[in-house]
Amino acid sequence: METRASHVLVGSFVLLFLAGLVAFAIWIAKVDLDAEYRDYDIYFDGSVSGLYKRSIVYYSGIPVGDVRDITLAPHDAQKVRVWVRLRAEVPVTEGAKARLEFQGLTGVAYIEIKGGPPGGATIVVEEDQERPIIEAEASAFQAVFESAPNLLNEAIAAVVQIQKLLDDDNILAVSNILKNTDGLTANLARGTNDIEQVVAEARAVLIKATDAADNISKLAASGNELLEHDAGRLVNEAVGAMQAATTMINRIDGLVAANEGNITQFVGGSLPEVSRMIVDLRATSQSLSRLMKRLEQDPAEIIFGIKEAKYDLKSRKAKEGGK
Amino acid sequence: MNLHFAKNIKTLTSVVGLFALTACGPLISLGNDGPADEVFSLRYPAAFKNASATGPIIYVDGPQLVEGIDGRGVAVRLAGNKRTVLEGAAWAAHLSDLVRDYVIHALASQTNVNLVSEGGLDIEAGCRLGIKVWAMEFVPGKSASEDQVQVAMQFSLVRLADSKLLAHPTFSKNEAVISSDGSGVVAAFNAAMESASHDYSRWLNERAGECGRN
Repeated sequence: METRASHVLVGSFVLLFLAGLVAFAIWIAKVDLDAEYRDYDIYFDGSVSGLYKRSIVYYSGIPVGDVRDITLAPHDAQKVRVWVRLRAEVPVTEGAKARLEFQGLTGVAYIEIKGGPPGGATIVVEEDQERPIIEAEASAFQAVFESAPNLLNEAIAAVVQIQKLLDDDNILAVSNILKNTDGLTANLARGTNDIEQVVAEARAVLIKATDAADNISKLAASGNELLEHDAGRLVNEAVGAMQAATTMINRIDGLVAANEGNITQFVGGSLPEVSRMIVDLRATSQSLSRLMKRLEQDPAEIIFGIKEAKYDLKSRKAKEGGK
Repeated sequence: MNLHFAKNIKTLTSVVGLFALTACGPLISLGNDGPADEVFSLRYPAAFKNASATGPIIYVDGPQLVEGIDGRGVAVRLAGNKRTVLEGAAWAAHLSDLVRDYVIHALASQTNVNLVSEGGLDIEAGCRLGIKVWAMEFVPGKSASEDQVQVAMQFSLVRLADSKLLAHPTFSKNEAVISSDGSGVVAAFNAAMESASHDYSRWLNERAGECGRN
């Protein structure tokens, strides 16, 4: 007897197994069969390195889609067009911005979309566009990476300059400056005592100056008092003295006029004689000085002359006991 | 009393006698004086010139002589810093007087300056000229042909109005001695003095204008 029912049973079992396998795969893949999606284009300036197909697209930190394709922009090779697919319920309105971000330091990139203002119009496709376009903006990481080569070059140049600055000569010079500064501060510290002494002396001088000013003020007051009380008497005495002097001068003038001839003779003749007498006295004084000097040294020399060996021109020698 | 008086008289007579004997010393021969010295003078060889009426008046001080050459002996400088005087030769007057007269004569002949010296103190002068004689000596050489005389004088021109020292130059001359006797030596001195006079006369002509016109 032939068993036919077993084939139906095996086939049913296999179909059931395959259906379960598909359901398991769908469950594992978390495929949302009911989900609706919208496609957008994002144009980035410059490199999008680290971004690949299937890279995740976040909206305010929530994964809402993925990257479908990455190509150069059709009309501008400087830009990169990234085709993304987002869930339909994501509110991509006018003013939304897309940025390229990186996960830590791994280099894996993703796209972060920041929504536009609430109540804004939804982005729609234009006539010459394949998909609606989300405006891109440069992220901080992009700016850093773009400027990193320049920063590195500048850092290397700075290191070279620092190496030049810190050569042995400059280090020695800086060392000397530090030593000098140390000495200067030490001297300054020592000089503080002197400064204090100077300040103390200046204070003493100011005190004396104040006393002197007080004395001068008192003197001025005394002078004022003197002028007020005794000035009249002093002026009268001065006038009297001037009158007496005038009288005396008049008398002298008369005396000179009466003896003009004698005075002229005295001035013209006697005064020069006095001068000559002074000259003679000076000469006599010099002679006496010489004589006294010789007398002190050798009194016998005055009478017998000095005993010295005189030079004889004929023998060309100094002869002892010369005349 | 009489004895005491007689004793005083004897003492007085003895003292007076001793003084009289001393006073006669120069008249008494005290040994062999030998031949008399030859007496020489310094004399500027040009004729006298009338003083300028417009030139400045300068009073000339008596020269100051360094020790060793001051006197009437003709100074000799020997090796080893020895000094002496020439045997048998003497200056006619004190050397300072001879130098002063020579300088005045030379300047009066070669400049337009009116020079007055002692005796002219009552004349108002513009400047005073001081003279310091550093050398006026005979210097024997190794041989007679190398004998020479040296003369060095330093002048100080002082303006009397403000007592300012206008100049202070020194003039030095060496002159060879032609003949080895007193006359030859003094001739060399005169030649050196004349040679120096040209230099200091030229100098005074240049500076005399600063003494004003009296």
